Amino acid sequence: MNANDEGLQVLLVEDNAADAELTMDALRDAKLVNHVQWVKDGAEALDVLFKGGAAAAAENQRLKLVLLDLRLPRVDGHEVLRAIRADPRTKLMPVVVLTSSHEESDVVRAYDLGANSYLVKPVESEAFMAAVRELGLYWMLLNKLPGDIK
Amino acid sequence: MLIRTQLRLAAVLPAVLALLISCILWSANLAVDRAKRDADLAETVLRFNFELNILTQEYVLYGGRRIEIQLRKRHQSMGELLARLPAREAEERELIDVLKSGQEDLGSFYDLLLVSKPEARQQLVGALLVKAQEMRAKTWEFATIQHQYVFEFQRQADTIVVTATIVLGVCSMILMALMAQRLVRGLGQLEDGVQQVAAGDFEHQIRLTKADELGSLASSFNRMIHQLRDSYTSIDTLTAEIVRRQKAEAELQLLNAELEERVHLRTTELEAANKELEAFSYSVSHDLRAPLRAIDGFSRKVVVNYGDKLDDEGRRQLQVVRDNAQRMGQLIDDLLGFSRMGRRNMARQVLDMESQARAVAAEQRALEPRRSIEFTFLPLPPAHGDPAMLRQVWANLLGNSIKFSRQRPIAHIEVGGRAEGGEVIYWVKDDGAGFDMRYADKLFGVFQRLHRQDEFEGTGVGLAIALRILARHHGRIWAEGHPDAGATFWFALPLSAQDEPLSGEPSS
Repeated sequence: MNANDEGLQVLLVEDNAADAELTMDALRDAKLVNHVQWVKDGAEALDVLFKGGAAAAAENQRLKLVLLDLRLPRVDGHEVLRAIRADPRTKLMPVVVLTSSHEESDVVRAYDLGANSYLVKPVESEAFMAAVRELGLYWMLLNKLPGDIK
Repeated sequence: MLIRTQLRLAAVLPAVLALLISCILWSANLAVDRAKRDADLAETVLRFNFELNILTQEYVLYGGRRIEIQLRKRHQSMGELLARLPAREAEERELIDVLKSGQEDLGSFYDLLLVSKPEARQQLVGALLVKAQEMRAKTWEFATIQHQYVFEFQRQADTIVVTATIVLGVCSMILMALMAQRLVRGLGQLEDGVQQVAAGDFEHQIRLTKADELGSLASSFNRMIHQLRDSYTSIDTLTAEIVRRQKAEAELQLLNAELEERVHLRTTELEAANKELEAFSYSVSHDLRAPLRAIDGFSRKVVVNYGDKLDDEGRRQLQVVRDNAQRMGQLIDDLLGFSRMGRRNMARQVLDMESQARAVAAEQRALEPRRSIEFTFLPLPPAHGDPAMLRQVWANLLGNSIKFSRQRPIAHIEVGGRAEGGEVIYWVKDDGAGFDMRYADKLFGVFQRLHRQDEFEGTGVGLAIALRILARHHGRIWAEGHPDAGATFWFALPLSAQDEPLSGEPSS
């Protein structure tokens, strides 16, 4: 496993620029990823995954992680998750919900739609950084995807 | 007079008359018998007269002592018979007197005859025969009178019987007619009255004041009508009451329907309000925290990236910004927790409060490994309620006790409980900072704190959450404390499970 592999590795779906910046800071600080693409809403996320050139889509469909906020303009996080799980090319893709929502209903719905994990963003920045760092470590380094083991 | 008495009289009257007739007939028969007997006597006298004539002839022809004795005896017998003849009328008395003197004359003739010489006898016999002839004529006359008496008495008796029968018949008919008239008139009045009442006139009174059975029947009937009217009146009252109740019931149903509609409306409104509240909470949790995270995160970035360009005061001020952002985040989290506690669904089960309290105490103690805390657990009765909610109560109360006793070298916390008066009461007692009872009413308010933030950290939501949980369990919570002398928090839960109030709307 090499963290410096070419190509897009993490897709960050986050409408809040500050949260996005802090998240990317945390991932970069941990030196886990080179390629993080940040999209600001669900529609954009679906474009990155399923539209554009066939080659690009195929490339993007080999993501190691999608960090998905739930409350998004246009297409919300649950819809994105549903679309990812509905498509055979992306249905095994690791999706971690990273949200401000403590709502039990959101948690249940996310898992119901096939989220791999659910994290509530802490307000306190050290805790936030630590959380993102640890999830990055886990999903980028420790977690194995189909095809990783040769 | 009672009809019964009248009927008895009507029956007795013929009997009396019949008795009277019988008496009359009997006395008539007696008179007839007597007259017949007297007639027979007269005829015997006549026979004796004839026999005396024959004996006289025999004596004249033959003489002799035997005939003489016979003559005497017969003459004496005739005298006795004559003495027995009754003398009722002057005519009879006269006849009897004549007969009696004739008898005496005959006796004198016989005396003469019996002592006379045979040649003088012929003359005497002639006088005797004349006398006897005379007496026979008188005797016959007497007998005829007696026969006339018989005939007369019999005719009188017949007349009396016929007359009495006619009188009896007429009297009976008159009596019967009178009675029948009375009866018919009374019955007619009764019938009229009954018909009027039957036609529905319950006010009608039969005016029949006779002192007989009809009179008492009429008064009984009047009484019955009175009672019937009373019962009709009570039936009317009852019917009115039934109608009134039916109307009231209908109104009640209408009211109920309206109420249900209103409840439905209110429920809908409440549900809408709840949904809004949820949306609001969601917004708060999601949107309010994001800026705080940015404030804190970017303050930190300033410190990390430009810390060398700031002096200590600059860094301190940025830290104040961060502290407050974090505190606000904590406040928001607590407020959301408080809000969720009011909305979430409740489970109901029997809980082992002692093991729950012990488990919570162990968890909380683990968070303060350097502290020296002595827990005392008294036996706790089981409770009925939502496990997660009551666990939250224990966590808040035990957490408070641990927090506010941190200045003691060795903190003492006692947990106890007992069943009392239909509820179970639990307490958590510590020897910590305590509080001033003057502010006891502020303990359970949201964001209400009795200690400064720099003394004891906290948002002032824990006890408000505990209060809300107990309210949802129909329980209660209260506290007692003294500054620097510890505090005791009690909470009570009802023994039997009750339905929770409407506030427990399910969250989606």
